Amino acid sequence: MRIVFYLLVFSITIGLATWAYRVNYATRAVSKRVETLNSQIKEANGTLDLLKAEWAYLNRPNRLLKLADQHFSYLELVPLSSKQIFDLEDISNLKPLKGASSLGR
Amino acid sequence: MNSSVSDYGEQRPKKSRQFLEKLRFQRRLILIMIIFILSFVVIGNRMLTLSLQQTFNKSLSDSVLPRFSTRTDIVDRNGILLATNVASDSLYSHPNELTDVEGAAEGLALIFNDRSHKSYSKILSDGRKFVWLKKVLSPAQKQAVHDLGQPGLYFGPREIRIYPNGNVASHLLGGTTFGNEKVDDAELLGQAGVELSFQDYLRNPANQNKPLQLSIDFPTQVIIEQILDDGVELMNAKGGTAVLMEAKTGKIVSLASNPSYDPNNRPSNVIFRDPAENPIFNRAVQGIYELGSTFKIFVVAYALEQGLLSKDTKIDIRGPLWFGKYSIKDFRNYGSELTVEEIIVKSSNIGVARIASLVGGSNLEGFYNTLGFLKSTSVELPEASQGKPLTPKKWSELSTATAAYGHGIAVSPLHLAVAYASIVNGGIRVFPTILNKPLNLEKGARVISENTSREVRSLLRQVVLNKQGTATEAKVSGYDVGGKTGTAEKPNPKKGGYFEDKVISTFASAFPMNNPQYVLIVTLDEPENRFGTETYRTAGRTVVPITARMISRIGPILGLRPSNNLEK
Repeated sequence: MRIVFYLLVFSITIGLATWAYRVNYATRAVSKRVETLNSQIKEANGTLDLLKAEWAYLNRPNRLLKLADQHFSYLELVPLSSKQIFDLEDISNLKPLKGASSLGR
Repeated sequence: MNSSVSDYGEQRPKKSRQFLEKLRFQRRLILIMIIFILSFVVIGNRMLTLSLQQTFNKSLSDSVLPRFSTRTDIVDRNGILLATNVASDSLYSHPNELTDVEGAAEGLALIFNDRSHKSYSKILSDGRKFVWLKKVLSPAQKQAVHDLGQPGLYFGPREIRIYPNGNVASHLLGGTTFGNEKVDDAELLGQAGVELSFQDYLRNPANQNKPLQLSIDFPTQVIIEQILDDGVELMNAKGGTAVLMEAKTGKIVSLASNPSYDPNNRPSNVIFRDPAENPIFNRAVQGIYELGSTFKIFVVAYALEQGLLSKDTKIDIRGPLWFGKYSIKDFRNYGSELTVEEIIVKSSNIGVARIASLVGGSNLEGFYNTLGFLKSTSVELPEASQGKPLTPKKWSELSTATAAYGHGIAVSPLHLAVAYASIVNGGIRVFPTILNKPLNLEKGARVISENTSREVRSLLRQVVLNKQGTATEAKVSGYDVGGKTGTAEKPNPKKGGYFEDKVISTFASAFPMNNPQYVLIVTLDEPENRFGTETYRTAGRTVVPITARMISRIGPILGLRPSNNLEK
């Protein structure tokens, strides 16, 4: 009886010690991982900032104007004009222009 | 046997004492064991609950994740990026660690091309233990320095401010410089514009993810700048400025000043003979000009408000008007009398001078004060305090008469935008702001009645519509523009008096005129229209067509519904 009791206590002790040991290491691993993730987030934020800056730089008006000029032959981009804006009821009264494309026919 | 009994008899008390002691000892052991087991259970239990509970480590989860940027971005009203930061490096050296000073100096001179080989070797061998070599490196330069393979050359992380759109809105943004420089970090400090006026907000780490949002509309700003630059060139002007403001709120939608500069590389503060020629000079805010006839509408508005006259009242305009040795003349002879409306449409100096004498000096001074002409504007730019108006010291008869047509009083174009917005928006004074959501903007008082504002709008519309008006070229398809021109001779600082062939031409306009949403002030410095046989300097031939082009381009972008589209 006594030996059973001793064995039980002994195995509990070993079990708990193993468990405590593992939790300790798991915790350290997780906190290390958090640290890595934080530095990755910081790096990603830095990249994001850089990409945002680059996006804004690529979309700077000077460049877009130049590109619109360069590709005018097929984009045919022209400045927005008030003549392109109509009320809905005006459109129903409009007759198609001569030589208008057969879009939607 | 006996003896054994006696032995037993002798030993018995001794044995029972031993037994009792053993028992006590055992009990003690059991007690200690129980204590141990209990504490073991308690501690084990505590460990178990701790491990099962979903508690986060507070120090890890709550810590602000370090974002890269330390200075907040600046964006326009729709979130388009105007200023941000990127990572870069600086270069410094511990010369005592260099193994080959000459080799390093030669390499650096080749990479940077800014100093000679000799100059580098001099810096590296003058005995200092620490030398700054370069404030900012490009990635390619950094690689090249790496490739030199010299010990003793070190990189320090730097954050640099980037304005991706180059010159756009340069006068508003201002630019930055390095403040306190350390090896691992350097302060970014604003030099002018919003970078300086919102320094504290931009540097506050709590605002890292809350960019500073300006009231600027980026596409509009780009177009206004473009047309202004073209206009300055076409009209052979020295420079110019344009201010577009929301008529009802005072929010600045665009503010341009020509010449401009690149805030990525802000020019150092060179002394110019004429400060207005300096590209960092913000003409719209710092520039103080006599804006001429654009002022005429104010004295008329005041007289209408006070019921002193109606727009059909006839005024004697025979001239010249003499005040002591000074005389007031008209640009040309308009006959003997004009109605108030005709005075505005044709822009008669004598006419408004007469109205001014009707109004009186102190009243006009008071009205100009409510419109904000006597103080610097309250816009959130450090340059605003430098735009202090020049006003008459004494509002004598002469100075009242000239102030009525914009002479003897000098204000910034931004002042004029505020005053025009206040009289056309229904009569409520606006205060200029550069922020999309102004923090504590003053609430404006009423300056003129709703009714007077309507009459003022119809007068301004006539300047454009009437065939004899001074701004007939401001007719824009789809948008009803109204406004007042002003051509003011520039003062001659050397001789006193005024130049005859140097003018400031201004067109103060508002649109759409039945319910003005925007006020646009455009000013050109010394314009000359040489397209015809004659050279024209008047606003109607120089700045008005440029303003018309601006409005026709920005109208659709601002989302304004064009009027009477199909008729035209």
